[in-house]
Amino acid sequence: MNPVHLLIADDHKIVRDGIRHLLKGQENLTIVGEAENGEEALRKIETEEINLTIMDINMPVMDGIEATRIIKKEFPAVKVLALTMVDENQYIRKMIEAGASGYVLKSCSKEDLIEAIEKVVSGHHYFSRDVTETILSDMVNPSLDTHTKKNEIQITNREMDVLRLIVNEYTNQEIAEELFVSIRTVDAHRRNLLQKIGAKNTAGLVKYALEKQLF
Amino acid sequence: MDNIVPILNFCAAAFALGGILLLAVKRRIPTRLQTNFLFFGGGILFLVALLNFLEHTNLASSPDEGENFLITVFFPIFIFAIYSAVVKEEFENKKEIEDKTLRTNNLLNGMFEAIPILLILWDRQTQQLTINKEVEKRLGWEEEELKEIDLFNALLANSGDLERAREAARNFEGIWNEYPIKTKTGEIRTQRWTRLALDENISIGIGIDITEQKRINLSLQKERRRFELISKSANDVLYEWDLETDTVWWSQGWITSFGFKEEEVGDSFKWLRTIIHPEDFEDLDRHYDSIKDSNLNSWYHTYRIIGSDGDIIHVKDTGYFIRNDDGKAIELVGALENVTEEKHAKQLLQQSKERYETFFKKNPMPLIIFDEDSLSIIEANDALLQLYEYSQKELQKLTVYDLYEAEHWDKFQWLANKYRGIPSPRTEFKVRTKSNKVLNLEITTTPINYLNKEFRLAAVKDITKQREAEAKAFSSFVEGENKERSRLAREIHDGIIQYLAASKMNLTALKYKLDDFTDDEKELFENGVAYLKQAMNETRDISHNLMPPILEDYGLALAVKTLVEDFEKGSKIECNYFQNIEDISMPKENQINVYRITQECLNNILKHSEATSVSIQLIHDNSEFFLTVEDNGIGFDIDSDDYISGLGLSGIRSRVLSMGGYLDIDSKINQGSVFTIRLPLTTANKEVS
Repeated sequence: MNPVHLLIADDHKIVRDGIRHLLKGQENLTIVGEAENGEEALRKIETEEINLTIMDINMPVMDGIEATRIIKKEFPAVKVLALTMVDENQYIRKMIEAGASGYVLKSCSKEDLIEAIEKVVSGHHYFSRDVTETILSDMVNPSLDTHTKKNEIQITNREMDVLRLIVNEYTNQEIAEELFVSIRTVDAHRRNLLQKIGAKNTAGLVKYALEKQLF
Repeated sequence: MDNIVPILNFCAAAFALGGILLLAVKRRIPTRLQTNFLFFGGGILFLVALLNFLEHTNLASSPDEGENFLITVFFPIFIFAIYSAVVKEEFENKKEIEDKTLRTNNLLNGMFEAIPILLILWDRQTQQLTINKEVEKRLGWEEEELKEIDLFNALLANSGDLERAREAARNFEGIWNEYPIKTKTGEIRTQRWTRLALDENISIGIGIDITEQKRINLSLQKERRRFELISKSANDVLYEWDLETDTVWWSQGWITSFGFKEEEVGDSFKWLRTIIHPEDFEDLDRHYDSIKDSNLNSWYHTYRIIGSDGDIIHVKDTGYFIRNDDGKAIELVGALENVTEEKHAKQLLQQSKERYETFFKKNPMPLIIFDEDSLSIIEANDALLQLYEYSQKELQKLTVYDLYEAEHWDKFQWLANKYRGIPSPRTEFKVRTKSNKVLNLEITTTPINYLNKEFRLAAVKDITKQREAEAKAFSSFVEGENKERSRLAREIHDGIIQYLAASKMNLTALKYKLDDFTDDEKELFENGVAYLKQAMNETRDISHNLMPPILEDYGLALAVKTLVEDFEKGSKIECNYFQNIEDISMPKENQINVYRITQECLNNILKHSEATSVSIQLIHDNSEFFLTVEDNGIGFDIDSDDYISGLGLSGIRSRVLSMGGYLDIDSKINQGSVFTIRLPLTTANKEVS
């Protein structure tokens, strides 16, 4: 195991103490310092010889994601291992985007933590099992993030009904009567369509429908 | 021979004398007699002159014979010359008379043909029948045709008249008889006939066609009867007033309609003046005179009369002046109508109008009357005008629709249909005033009969302030709840969870001592660590549910995205998520509310909808933000009241209300459902980031 010069960044002292106890007696591992927030962590990295930071995400003053981004920019050699309570993929993704090499939940076992430290210090990535699951499920559910896939606009069933009637020159009132819904709902559908398709007006909707040969 | 000559001479002298006398008196003697006399006399004179000449020729030797010759020869020639002159004049006279007779005959013939009287000439001796044109015209028969048929049989329409007619034709000269006469075409006409004998043989039948006259008489009679009927039955007093004599004819109206007794009614306008209300004289006279002395004919005036029981009767007098050639009014015909009840009704109407004025117009509660069918506004009171900031005129150009916010139109329509003809319950609407101020109104409508038409009266209560206060209360309630949840979440996250995490780490740090433990002790230790891990996870879930950190850290778009992802993972319902809200910044409170609403909607879908696909959209345009949650599940009946409690919508409603937004739910059985939340984008939450 490569020598580890560790900084623990967490806003809760008891957690920092817990980590200290966990890692006590590990060979080649020195806990160089502790930080209560991202800003303090940055200061310590600047002054001390540190090659790994265990980083919490939710911290006052500067959170872990921001701190990681700056560390990777200013001190690319310093590895970051996220140790946190949040397992939502948004945070995981943000953390990975910011440059973290590993992501471990605070509920993990001692063995997991040590494995993660070893992997990250030797230049690899480590994600605990729960985290891997979250990331994977995000990858196999591509339908969700339609906003990013501009080319494929998802039109809902009701919107399709409304669009078909718009193409047939129905007014909001007539569409409402035809579909047995309120005028306001029709209005909402129409405006949603305008936004999604990026059309300025009804003519744009009709044009879109014709171009895509929706009907 | 000698004694003959003197006799002849004497005769000649006598004739000459007679001729002279004749010239003097001839006009008194029949022409034929004159002519005979003159021819006879002329012959005698010529004979005398011849004999005298012969005798003198024989006696030419005698000297005194010369004087005799003169006397016996020249005297008769002289006389003859005079005769000739007289006779010539007589002949000329006679020709003149014949011409005159011819002219007279022509005239008579012409008259005979042209006179519009039927004439039939009958010569018994020659069996000759002559008719004039009028007969042909009226009866349709030609003269030749009439000669061939039996006149009486052909013309008399009633065979019963046959005897009477024959009798009259034989005997009753100059007596007129009326018969129905049949024309050739079968038309029945009424004619009067008489007979006139011109001489023993020739008689003339004279006929007058009185069909038209009869008809006119008949219609006149009807007219008269009708008028009598009208004047008897009409409630009006019909009158005809001879202005010259001030005599007046009244119909029965005084008795039937005005309650006078027959003996009370006078027969002059003087009498009428005795019952006219004294205060109305002046006006009446002035008006009456102005029309009477003008060239106008129609006149009408309303005045009061005092009835026989002393009651005031309102009379409408409508008249028509009849004028002579000089334009002077000589007669006035017209009718007096009892308009007392009408007057009363008008007064009542006026009174009710005044009452309405105060009740409706000045009512502090805003009121409006509109047409249920056309939705046009009939009238609004001052309070309503003030509320809406319109003038009466401006308002009447609008329809009821214009007074509501567009999103309330279908609600209004639904209510209008449901409560047609009956009062509608108190319903809350958002409306827009002239200056675009949005008001919350509580509106109750009820059908009314106004101006004899069915309309609807809406009573309005302005609850804008009340609603604002409520929204404020709601929002501070919701806000308070959100704050409390946030605080709890933070405390759990920063407190309990960290302690749990630290405990677990501390405990795990002792793991190297496990070798000294018995197996039972090891199990206890491992269980303790596992429980701590579970406690951490569960506490974290509670904390996240109370306030998802992602919402605070990354905003609504990402938070909902995560929510949807977790939902899809947990429910196996296919989800589609679309948002374009990253360029607007919404107040934290609203973000929390929208997040919670989305969460609640998804929970409902999971619990009730049996949907296989859900679409969640957060979309904004220039004016509004929309949250749309649409599923393809079994749907529900919006109109049933059960679904609200079942879906726990009250939480959603209060959140929507606290944001000043609108909630729309559209669903049908087996056709999925659509939840739409609509929030106005105010400058406060429309900051381009």
